[in-house]
Parts: sequence; C-alpha cells; structure tokens
Amino acid sequence: MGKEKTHINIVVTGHIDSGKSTTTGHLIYKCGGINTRTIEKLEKEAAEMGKGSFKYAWVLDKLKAERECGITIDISLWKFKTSKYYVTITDAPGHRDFIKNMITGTSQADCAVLIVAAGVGEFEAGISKNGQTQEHALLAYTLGVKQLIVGLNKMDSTEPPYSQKRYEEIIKEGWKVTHKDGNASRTTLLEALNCILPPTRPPDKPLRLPLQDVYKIGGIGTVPVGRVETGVLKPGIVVAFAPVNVTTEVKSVEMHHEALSEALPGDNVGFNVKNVSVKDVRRGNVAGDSKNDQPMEAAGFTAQVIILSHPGQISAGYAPVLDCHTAHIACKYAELKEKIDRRSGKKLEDGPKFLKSGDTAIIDMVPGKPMCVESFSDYPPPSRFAVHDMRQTVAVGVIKAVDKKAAGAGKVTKSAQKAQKAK
Amino acid sequence: MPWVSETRKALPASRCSMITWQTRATLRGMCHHKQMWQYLKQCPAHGLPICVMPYVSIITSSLTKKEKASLPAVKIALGKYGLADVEDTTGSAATDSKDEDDIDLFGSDEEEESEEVKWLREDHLAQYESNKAKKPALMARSSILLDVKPWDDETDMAKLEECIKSIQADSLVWGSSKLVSVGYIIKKLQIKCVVEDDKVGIDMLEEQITAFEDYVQSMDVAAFNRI
Repeated sequence: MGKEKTHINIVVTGHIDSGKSTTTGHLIYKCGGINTRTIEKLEKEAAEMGKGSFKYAWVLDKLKAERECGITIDISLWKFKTSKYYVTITDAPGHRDFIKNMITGTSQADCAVLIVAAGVGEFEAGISKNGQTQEHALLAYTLGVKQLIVGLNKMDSTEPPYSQKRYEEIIKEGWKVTHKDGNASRTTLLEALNCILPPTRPPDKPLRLPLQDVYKIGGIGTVPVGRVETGVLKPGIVVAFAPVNVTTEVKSVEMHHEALSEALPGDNVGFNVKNVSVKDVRRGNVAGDSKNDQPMEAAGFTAQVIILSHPGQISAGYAPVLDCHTAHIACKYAELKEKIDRRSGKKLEDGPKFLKSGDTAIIDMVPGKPMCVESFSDYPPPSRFAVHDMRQTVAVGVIKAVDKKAAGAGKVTKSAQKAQKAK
Repeated sequence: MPWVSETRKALPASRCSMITWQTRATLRGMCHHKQMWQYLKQCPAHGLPICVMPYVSIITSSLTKKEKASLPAVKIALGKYGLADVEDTTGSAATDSKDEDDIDLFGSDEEEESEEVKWLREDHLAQYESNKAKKPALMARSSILLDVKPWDDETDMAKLEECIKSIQADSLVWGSSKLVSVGYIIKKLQIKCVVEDDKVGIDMLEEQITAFEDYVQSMDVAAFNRI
C-alpha cells in the first residue's frame, strides 16, 4: 500500500464575476471530485438531450441544481485530488457569517486561492478600493493563511485574447507574493496547487485540544470530543483541562468507530476520562498534557484586531463576544494601545481614543469569564478569533501575547494521581 | 459567421446555461412582441428558460423573416416583468459550445446581417455591463452543512432530526441528512440546508437549533459554500 496523500484545505475567493465558482466547479469535475457514476449519468443525459458538445456546462448546471435542493450531502463537502494532495475546497460565499466560520470553523484553510479576472476593466474593478479582492487576501493573511495562489482567469477576454502585455500589467499591480519555497508563478492552477506547502500542524508541539462537546455514555463514562490542534493525544497520558483546572487520565481514544493508539493534529476524536463528571468540563475548555506546558486560564491578552464593519466607534470599555476556538465569551477592550497600518504593521498612533471600520489596532483585552487562549506564535489555531456584536462579525483578530494566570490547586482525580505516581 | 465567435468571446464563459445563444438572441429580439410577453407572463417564475422554449418557437414560426429582422433589439430585464427573483439568463448569452448546427435565424441577406451584427454585439456589451451592475443585487445563496450533536447515547436522533426540520425561516430549505459516528457509540446528525445570504444567519440557526435543549448539546458548521 502506497503512502496516503496529504489532505489540504483551500478556500477560493475573488471579486464577484471573476469566475471563481466556475473555476471551483471545473476543478472538482476534472479532478474526480464527483463520483464517476454521477458524471456518467449526467453525461448520458446530456448526450440524449443533444447537449453532448457542451456537457461540461450541462453537468455543472445540474450539480448546481442539486446543491440548491440539498439532495446529496457528499456534494457539499467538495473534494478532489491532484497528483500530490487530497483537496477539500470551499467556494467562499458572500454570506456575512462566513468569515467567522473561516476563523473558528472546523476546516481552517491551508491556502487561499484568489481568482482575478483579466478582462478589460474587470481586474481594475476587482482591485479598486471597494473591491473585495485585496480585502479577502489581506484578511486571510492576517489570520494566518500565509499561502496564496493568484489565479488569473478569463485571459481569453483580454484585448487581444491571451495578451502577454495584459498579463504583465496585472502582475505589476503589486502582487508581491513571495513564496519561500515552492515557487508557483506562471503555472496552471493545478500545478500551483501541487506547490502548496502541506499544513504544519506540528505533532512535536505540546498538546492542545479545544473541546466541542462532552458526552455521558452509559457503561463508559465521560467522553469529551474535539480536534487535536497540536501535539499528540494517547491513552494513558494525564491531561489538564483549562480554565476549569481539572486533571485526569485518558483511558482510551476513539475516532469514528475505531480505537486509536494515538491521535494526531487534525484528528477529530473522542476520549474517555475517568472520575470526571460531564459537569466538570465543557465546550470551550482546552485539554493539554499536564506535564508538557499545560494549558492555563488567561487573565488577559494582547491582540491585533481588524475592525471590519461596525456602525459606530469603538473605544476602551467595549465588551463584545469573542469566538475563539470553541469558546464563546464576552471580552472587554481594556486598552487601545496603538493603531497600526494593516499592510506594513507600522505604528500610526499611540493610544487612540476611538477605532472605526477598517482600522487595525493592538488591543489589551480581559475575558469576562475564565477562558483559555494561546498566542499565535505558540499555538496558531487557538489564537484566532472573531468578534461578534449585533448579530454579525464586527472584527477579527489574532492573539499576540497572553498573560497566564498562575494555576492554583485544582481538582486532580484519583486516577490522575495514580497514573502520575506510576511514572 | 465570423461575428458569432466574436460575440462569444466578448462574453463571460462562466454563465453558461441550457438555452443556446440563438434561442436567447431570438428571445431578445422578440421582447417587444406583445404576444410573446403575454405568454411569458403566464409562465411560472421558476424554470423560466425551459418553459419559454415552446413559446419562442410558436412565435418565431408565426413571424416572417422580414418581421423578425425589423423587430427592435431592446432588451428588457426580466425583473421588470415581476420576476425579480429569477436570474436573468436571457442577459448572459454565453456558451463555450462548439455547436456546429448554429442556424442564422435572422435571414441570409448580407446587408441585413451586418446591421444585425452591429446591434447584437452592442447589445451584448451593454448587457454585460448592466448585468454586472445588477449582479450584487441578486439573491446570493449559500449551502451550509451543519453538525448537530446530542447529549448522550440515549438521545432520540429521529426526534432530534424532526425538531431541526421543524425550524422555518424565510428562504431556509432543509436538505438531506445522515448520522455520522463520532466515537464510542455516539452519532451526530449531519444535515444540509440552503439559505439566502441576506435572510438567514448562522446565529439565528444556532439559537433555534440549540433551543431544543432536550436533544441538542451543540451545533457546528461543517461546510459553508456558495451556490
């Protein structure tokens, strides 16, 4: 059996009309994202209807219709293969809640694909001040998606078609995207996808596992469930839950139906813990190895925040709800430290009084309830957050530094004591 | 017909639909024909392209070549005919087909054709512009895949699904669902829905789903795509 291909997540964004949905559909269609039987059926239908010569359009339309009706679940989890990777692709919707989902959702993107249309006037519209193109790219970058592929679409609609001059004009527009490795410029999209650096969800870092749910199962006991973000979870290790400060031993680990000897970053797992009640731990808590940089409650933290859309002005004292990993907790903007240029990161103003839409700032925050967060440099996944107010995402941010509260004597279960003594 | 390929090029290949460009061109030419619009207005709003086809052929066959050529080429947005929710497929006459049986519906007279060519091309360009201007106003929709998690192994998953599907909102459509094993003997419900972006938010869905607190522990978004 050959080595399995690595899974990567990509998100496709772009200006309206850039053809990103068509591109997405095309990739899925051509790279085996739709099962062969469905395609054969649709192609046969196309032939019968006399649409044989443009079956591609026919199939895409059919699939779109199917997505609308929500008939098949498998089509909503879009997957395809390149020669190197298994790819899960998200066609970024314009829905206002999508950004929050991109930050706290289950599939954080490893790479963003930005589609720009090369047509006369189209590209310019896309990158103009109001265009979403730069906005999307910048947002993705700030949130830690450091890989970006720019796909130049509709080269056939340049004057003249496939104009080299137009290509050069566009790449001059300041897309100073430097790939550290894997230079992917001027290749086809598919080749570029193969140049993506696989996600670095490091197993050698200490364990961090934010809890999604906690189940009580008859005959088994308490089973917390979550995704391993960093590190390794194994039966037998002693885990600590923050901020509740409970320590216990992991009896077993399961994914789907199978027992695992170890769970690696990216795995969504359940694990059985002894002497812990379902009331002791809950969604939003973070599990870590008690002997290796165990997670702790944050007394406060410093974050870089981008205000996306807020109708008024934001000043110190503002206390919206933060969605960070699986936690959902109100946090107070204690001090607006400095306003910075979002592109260069240069300081613009010390101690600004107010912030408004479009501003980026370094802010000190204090959680309203006990919460466990991490800094981006230590543990990237649980360091990103979305700010929620008035039923929308008003800001996004990344935690730069955490002021950890010294842990007092917490609850240590008997099985944890035994396991610790045994070692 | 060299102009055919030209006009095709000028249009985005992304909005292909099932009517051939000729049908659309004919349709557009017929727009001012009263009879045509009476027929059109009787059509149900959904499935417009398909239901239009027979009417188009009825009308075209009842007109002489001369009449067709003399019809003004003014394109009227479907929205003006009370069909605001329908994507105006008549406006984006694009196809990347290499269909060889294109028939010139507008007569073979050379002089006449060059006239046609001109207005058709200008018409297309104008439409591309107006279509672009119109697009953001269209109802963008998203397909969302939700994970709904129960409390324990004793939660009645059939009842849970029933509760979820009872949630109603403007533009919200529930799709198919399945049970997915989480680990141990716990299964979560994975269910699809389609919403209009401006009408249904994740917050609202989460609030209403978690309100069934006897069954639901939490809800997560598993996939979020535009349609």
